[in-house]
Amino acid sequence: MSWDVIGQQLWNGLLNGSIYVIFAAGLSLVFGVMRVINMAHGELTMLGAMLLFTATDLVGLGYFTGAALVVVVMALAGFLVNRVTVRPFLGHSELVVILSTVALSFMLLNGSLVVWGSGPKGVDKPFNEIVQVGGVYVTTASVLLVGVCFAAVLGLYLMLTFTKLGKKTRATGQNLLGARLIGINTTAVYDTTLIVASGLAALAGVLIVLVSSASPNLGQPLLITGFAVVIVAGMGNVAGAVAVGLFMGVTEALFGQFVSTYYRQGYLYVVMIIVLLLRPQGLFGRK
Amino acid sequence: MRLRIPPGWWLGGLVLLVVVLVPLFLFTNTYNRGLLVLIVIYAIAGLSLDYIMGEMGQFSFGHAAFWGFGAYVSAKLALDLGISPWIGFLAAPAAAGLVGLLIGYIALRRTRNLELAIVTLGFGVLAWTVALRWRPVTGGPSGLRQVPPPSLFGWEIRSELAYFYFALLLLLGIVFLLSRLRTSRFGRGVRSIHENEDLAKSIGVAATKYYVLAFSFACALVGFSGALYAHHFRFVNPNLLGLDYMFIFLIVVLVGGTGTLWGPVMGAAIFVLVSEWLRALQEYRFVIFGVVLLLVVLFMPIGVFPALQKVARRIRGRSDEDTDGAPASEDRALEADRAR
Repeated sequence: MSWDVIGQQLWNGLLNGSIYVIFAAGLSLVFGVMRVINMAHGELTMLGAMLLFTATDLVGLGYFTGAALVVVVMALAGFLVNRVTVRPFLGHSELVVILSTVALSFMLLNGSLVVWGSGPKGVDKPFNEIVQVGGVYVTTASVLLVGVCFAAVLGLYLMLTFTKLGKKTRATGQNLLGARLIGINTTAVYDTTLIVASGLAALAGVLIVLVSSASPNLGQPLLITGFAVVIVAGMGNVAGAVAVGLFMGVTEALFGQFVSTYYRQGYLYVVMIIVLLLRPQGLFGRK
Repeated sequence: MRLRIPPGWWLGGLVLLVVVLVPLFLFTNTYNRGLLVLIVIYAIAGLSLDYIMGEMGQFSFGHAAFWGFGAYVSAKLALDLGISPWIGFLAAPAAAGLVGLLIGYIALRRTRNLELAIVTLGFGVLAWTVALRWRPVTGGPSGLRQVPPPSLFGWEIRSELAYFYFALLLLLGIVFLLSRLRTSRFGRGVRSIHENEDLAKSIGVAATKYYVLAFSFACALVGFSGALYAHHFRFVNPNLLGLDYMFIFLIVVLVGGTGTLWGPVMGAAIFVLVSEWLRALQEYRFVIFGVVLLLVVLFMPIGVFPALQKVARRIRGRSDEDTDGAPASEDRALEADRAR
């Protein structure tokens, strides 16, 4: 085996891993702060990709304008997601929220199939030169993808750590009642949490089209992968999800190259199960 | 002595009477009668998932995998070894129960609630991947066809109506079994852990052991339902283990109502009939289905059957406190004590 092949797979893994990272970060944020499993998270990403297709291909916007618009619109839609499918159900069992988000995912997935059809849609990339770095072929669009992912994750980290909003968000996640007692408007925190998560999901969507095509069916597999990442990292641990997302992306690509392309999908779950056996709370989770 | 029949049974019995008689008159073609079989099969699967959700108070998002696994086991036995479906009906739950025991042991040692939901989801997806890829054994994406129907004294139960009544009989048996299990020592033990795991442990209920056994039991039951599916619809494919069926079972349980025996049965009927009625809307039907689902959850978060029970109680002039208030939880504490 040559070093070039390994290098290529490392780069491919980094690409997938970057997508996993921002996808899982949003999923983990919602779980950590609100104790809600958002089953529609994958469909939000899908919607991001499909809306970008419409914005660039049908409306005629450029990639960057379209992508920025889509992310903003989807982030605002996160407010609606909270108010329509999460908040009315919070008083009941956790399962009810799962079911309401399943209902949302049903609507979004099948609505998209009606609007766009099931075929993959290519989106024009802003630039797409192929550069050879050592023996590794790298497209400029994929460099953009990795860069934006890292910037987004860094932004999320800074927001959660240093801003007042971030501190309120963490406080709410740690103790809802306590947060309310000291005067935090937890409803607003929930709104912003879903706005941020939904924006991150849509960002993942507009970035995916840089390396593959948009399709209404891209949400579900991504959701499943996102869950595996979140579990291995420890539920609700955003920083852990970032590390594990990258790790999973890279090792998955290597597994696909050197062990079996066939069972590539299964690989993540095997890792998940092994981690669970050894460390049920996840790699970065507290007991 | 007056025989006391629990209130739920009256409503359930009434529904049952309708269910037994209506098919003869309303569901006249083969296709519609096939839907009836589907209702019963989903009901059994729903009941088993509800054993985890309603009785254990836990989640399993990998339940469809056990369903599909049961279907594959029975279909494989019949196709490759020529073993009678009747043996398959026993082997499928046995195999699903054993795998459930193993996975329950891994997952339930530490994880509970939402964590458990995602862990079981992971197992489910793993099983689905294997079913999809392990072509020599599972037939790959197209699955296995020509699964034989069960036969009784040389007569194959092929007709939709015959299979429906056959499955209905089994469903009733299972409801009865579950009602006995719920009040048994084991069932009360499981329920006590649901109410308060630490308290249950403190009085000597081996929480994890009980939960793993209960989980395994539910897996066996859903495996049985899968075998029923395989021998009626006469094919198995990897989708049976996938997320679509997982969502269907979840909808069946939650729309019907958790923690009630008749809830999942009703949920199965509602699910199959509503999605059938929406068929006229063609590709829009799943969108509308999502909307309907959201509305049902919004207005009846406890589920249709418990909501009906509530209405029935109000009509009879009894207060809701009979079941929801403090005395009930005292009963449960005593129950936990007795389960020791």
